[in-house]
Amino acid sequence: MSGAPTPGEPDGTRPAGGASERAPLGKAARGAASRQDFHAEDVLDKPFDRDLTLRLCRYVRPYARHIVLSVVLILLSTLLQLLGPLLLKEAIDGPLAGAPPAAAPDVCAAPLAAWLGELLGGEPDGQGPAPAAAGTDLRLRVLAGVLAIYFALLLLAFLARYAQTIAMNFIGQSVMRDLRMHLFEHLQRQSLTFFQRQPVGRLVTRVTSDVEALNELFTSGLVTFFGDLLTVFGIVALMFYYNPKLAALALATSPFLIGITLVFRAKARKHYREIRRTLAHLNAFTQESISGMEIIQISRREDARAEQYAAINSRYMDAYLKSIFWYAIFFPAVEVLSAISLALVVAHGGSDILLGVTTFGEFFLFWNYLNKFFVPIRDLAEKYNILQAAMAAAERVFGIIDHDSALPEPAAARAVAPLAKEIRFENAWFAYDGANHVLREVDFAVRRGETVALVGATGAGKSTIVNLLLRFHDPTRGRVTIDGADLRSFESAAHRRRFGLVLQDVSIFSRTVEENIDLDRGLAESELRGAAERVRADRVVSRLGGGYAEKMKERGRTLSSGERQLLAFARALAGDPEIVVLDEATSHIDTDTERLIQEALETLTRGRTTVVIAHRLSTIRHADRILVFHRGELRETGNHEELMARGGIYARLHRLQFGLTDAGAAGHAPATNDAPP
Amino acid sequence: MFRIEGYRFLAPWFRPEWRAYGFGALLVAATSVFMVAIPKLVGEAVSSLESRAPIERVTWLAAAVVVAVLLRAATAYWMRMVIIGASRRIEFRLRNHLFRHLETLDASFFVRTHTGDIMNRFTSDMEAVRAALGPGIMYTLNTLATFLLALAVMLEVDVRLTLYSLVPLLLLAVVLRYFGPRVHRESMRAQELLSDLSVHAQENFSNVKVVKAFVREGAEIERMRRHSEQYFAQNMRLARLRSWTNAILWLIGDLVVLSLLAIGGYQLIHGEISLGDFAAFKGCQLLLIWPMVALGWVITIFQRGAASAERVEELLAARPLVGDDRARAETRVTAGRLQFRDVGIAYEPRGAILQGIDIDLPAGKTLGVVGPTGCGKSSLLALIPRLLPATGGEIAIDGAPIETIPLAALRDAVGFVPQEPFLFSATVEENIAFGVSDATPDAVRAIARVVAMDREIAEFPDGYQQRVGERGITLSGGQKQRLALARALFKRPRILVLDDVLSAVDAGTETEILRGLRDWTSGLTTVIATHRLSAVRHAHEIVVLDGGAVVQRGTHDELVARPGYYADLYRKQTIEDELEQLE
Repeated sequence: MSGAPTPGEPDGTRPAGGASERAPLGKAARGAASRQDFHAEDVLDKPFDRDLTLRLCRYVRPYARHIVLSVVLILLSTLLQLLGPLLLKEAIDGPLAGAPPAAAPDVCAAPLAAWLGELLGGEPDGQGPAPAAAGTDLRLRVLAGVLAIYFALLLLAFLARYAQTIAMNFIGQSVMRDLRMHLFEHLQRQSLTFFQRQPVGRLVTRVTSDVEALNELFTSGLVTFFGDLLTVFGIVALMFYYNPKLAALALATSPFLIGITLVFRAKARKHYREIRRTLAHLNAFTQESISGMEIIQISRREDARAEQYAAINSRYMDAYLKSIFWYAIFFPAVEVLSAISLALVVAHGGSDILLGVTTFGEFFLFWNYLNKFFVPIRDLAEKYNILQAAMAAAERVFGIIDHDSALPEPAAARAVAPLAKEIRFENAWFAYDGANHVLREVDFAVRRGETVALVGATGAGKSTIVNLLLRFHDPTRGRVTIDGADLRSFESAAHRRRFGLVLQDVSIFSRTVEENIDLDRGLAESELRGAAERVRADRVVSRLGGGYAEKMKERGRTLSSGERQLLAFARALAGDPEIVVLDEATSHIDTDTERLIQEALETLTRGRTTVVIAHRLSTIRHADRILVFHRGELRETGNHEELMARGGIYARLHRLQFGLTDAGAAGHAPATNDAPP
Repeated sequence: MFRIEGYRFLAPWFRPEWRAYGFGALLVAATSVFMVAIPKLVGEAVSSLESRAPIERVTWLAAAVVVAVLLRAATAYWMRMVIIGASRRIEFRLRNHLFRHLETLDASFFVRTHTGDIMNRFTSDMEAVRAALGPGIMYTLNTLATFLLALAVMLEVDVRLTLYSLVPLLLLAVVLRYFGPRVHRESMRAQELLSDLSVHAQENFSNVKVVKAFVREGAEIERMRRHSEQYFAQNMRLARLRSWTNAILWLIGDLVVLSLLAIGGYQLIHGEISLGDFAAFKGCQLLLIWPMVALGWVITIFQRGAASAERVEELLAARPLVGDDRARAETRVTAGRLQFRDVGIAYEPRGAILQGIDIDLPAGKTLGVVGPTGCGKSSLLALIPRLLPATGGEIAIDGAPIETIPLAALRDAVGFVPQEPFLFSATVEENIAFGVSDATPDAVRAIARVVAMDREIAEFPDGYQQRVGERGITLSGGQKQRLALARALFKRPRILVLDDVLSAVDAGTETEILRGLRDWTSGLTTVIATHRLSAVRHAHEIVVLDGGAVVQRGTHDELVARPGYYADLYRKQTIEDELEQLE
């Protein structure tokens, strides 16, 4: 149990500390992080925060037993580590001592060796330094005894250390997993508004790297602290027990050690912050330059930009060199202090040995303990950095958890019954920010089995209607009801299960085709394939090499937008929804797919209550009712003929979309949407 | 093992620091000598105590220990400053070079390569390379020197003892060889699982509407749980490996002491060595353990650094497709006649982006480019200032093939506004006068008036000195577009290329800008890609692109009269305009 290796000697280039063992994030994770931005997440100074710590403790509590276990184990292995030098001392003062040490007769210099000597066949005398005086043979036997005990301790320490490292990792990983799940579950409850405001990249960072940062706290911070504490105090106690005067001398340098450690910590932190700041600046500049490269090139600012870059780069380098200076000073300074202690032990202990007050064994003991004593104090600065980074990350994670934007769920939810009569918007108003209303005084009903189309220019409020209908938001004024019951009286999940939604921007997950249709609803294969066939998505699937088992690329890159649309229809149809809501695609799809989509649409909406946001008027001519929105208000209602006859907004829209013929043409409007007027 | 070959391309950067590294190596040697001197001196002290030499001798030896450590500290300090400093300077120059290199690359590279990917090479890869050049080299040298010197001292004490006590250290090499690659493999796997987890989170957050509409929150949480559990299990697997490695390393460290006690003790009892030798030996052994452990660590640094160096080299190996190799120094853009003959663009992996484009635009006239998203409009426009090279056909300006015009002259003559207005985080004035070094405030103001921004800028807290973008105020899409337009106009180009630049501007402002612009651009050759047909109404010719090819061409009146994309779009916009008028 010698001065054991510490593989993490700070290299002076990573003031962040402790990260040398860990590989950088994987490619996708890094990609996700880079989607966020490279601008400074302000370097938080969160050394110790009581509230944060208490909250973290709540996540640790389920593992209290593991914590206790690993603290016990680390105390055990530390203790064993302190026993090693003692055994060495026994050996040196015992069997190895050439001449009888001139210790006071009432104090035995090597009690263990003496006992071993008795045990292994020395004179049952016990008074004097028997082993030393004994013959070579006995001395060898006693040495072997000490070695055997030493070896046993080593094995025990080995097991304790292994078990303790595992326990600590288990705690760290478990807390991380729990916190991550808690955060993710919390996020799943948040309203749509929340997600519309938060950049996706930032949320991903919270769930990944911020949670990861806490791991370090557990694996290399929290528990090892107890070990360090025991090391420091154990050594002090043992030194004083053996030789108070020598101990006082040897430890005389430790106030200086603590002093320079504190200075170093303050300096390193200051420079660390400066490095982070300049690096963030450098990265932001690089990223900006990459994004604006066209402009730089067309404006021929390459040289000017490169000079600016070099200037920031040089500030970054300077900041780093300054911090290196402190590292370059600190580590040698610690060595100097420890060597001064050693020199004091040599000089003073030497004269004691000559005077016969001290033994060689004690001298070795002090030498060994001094080596161990300086390590934990030296590492304190690094541990502090870990703590700080973890606290900053914890604060960001809790910042998300503290904010709850979930829509209120009713205390006693009304049972969801099949739609009997109608869905009704009753004087509904809505504003995202509470002030600017995007919907005003909206009143209308969708009767069971009806197809209702929402028409209007961009920003008229059509999508907001859909958001209220599925209760992604609650109206700021008025209400939305189903068969007379306010949507707020239903459990929102049960309510949403009535619907099949097809969005203009189809969401494809990087899973197999089948999983994309199923979305973990556990539908039977026949249902999935049936749905796909009915909307003709099977043609798309058969085109793919892997069929239904083909794994989709990120955002469904391998499919055309029309093909993605078909999959979305299949997805909605597979759930056999009561009410279908369509945000019809406007993107220009080739005519072949367009016909397929048209047919799929009919299949999907047949016999179901349907609400469709229509961008092409031709697709909704057969709607039972058309609601025309304009600037957040419902301006016209009626079927195609009625609205045409009325000569209002719809008629105008229609006239313009289908040519400049008179409104009277309504009765014999073209049968297909792509026919010329 | 150190994968030196990966660093070969760094030789030119290494060369200017050659002396620093050489000097650093000397310092490493010196610091190791002083380091090894300490156990030697302590051993000497123990010997003289054994032989009952006068106490003064011991005191002098203790003083010598302090002197040795002071020298050791001084050289260690110097060593760190010299070697780490050199690696920093290499990083500095390499970064500058990389940045300059990036500036020479054309748009096809930036389309091919994600910003995040380039950024990774500038951040984590640079860090890994620097870690190899700094601490990597420093610790390798240090390890080597300390090892050799400590070994020398030990051999001097006793050859047999040295050989025996090296046995546990050999074990160490075996352990590192066994666990090293396994830890590496398992941690790669852990990274992959973390990636999967992160992709899941990202897709969930991006598709939140579908997740909610289909009430998939529970299932999504379950998936997350599966990812989390897998990642957890993998991390525990890794933790077991690491715990074994860690525990075994400690055990070996302890076995070294044990072996000394066993063999040294035996020899001591038999009077073959003295206690002083024993002490010196013990001190040297301690010095040996650290280098052996550091070796494994240093190897990891070099391996990671080599992988990163390869990625940096890859970036440096990217060649610009646009250059001045065919340029003739005297060729200039004069009148601004623009001709495309059978022009096409095709790149891996996207395939054909444009094909068979024929255009002949007389100087001073306007060309409209219209078509659905993804039809190739932007690529067509990027060809004119050669942000992107054509891969087929020929482009000529004033009769001269575009490649014969020096790039600098061409770009000076072309004003280009990309679809996404891009502003630098700088002041309004700097953004408008970007690319012009001798701009006067009056000139900036005049251009701001052309794009109908003058009054709005005056209302900013800092007026023309207002910072925008990151750490500045946030501008509306329309304001950004107008500033980007102002920037292109400011350098008084011969040819103006506008890529759908007024899409976020309301109709009233648009009319105002177009009016201002028409006066300002009369006589300028102008190419406008747009979704807003009002912007190309008066164009000399309009081409409609679809799937990278021209599907319709003519004047506004001709195209409106003909069925097709243009006429459809025109009708749609007339509706929108009419709706805008409604109250």
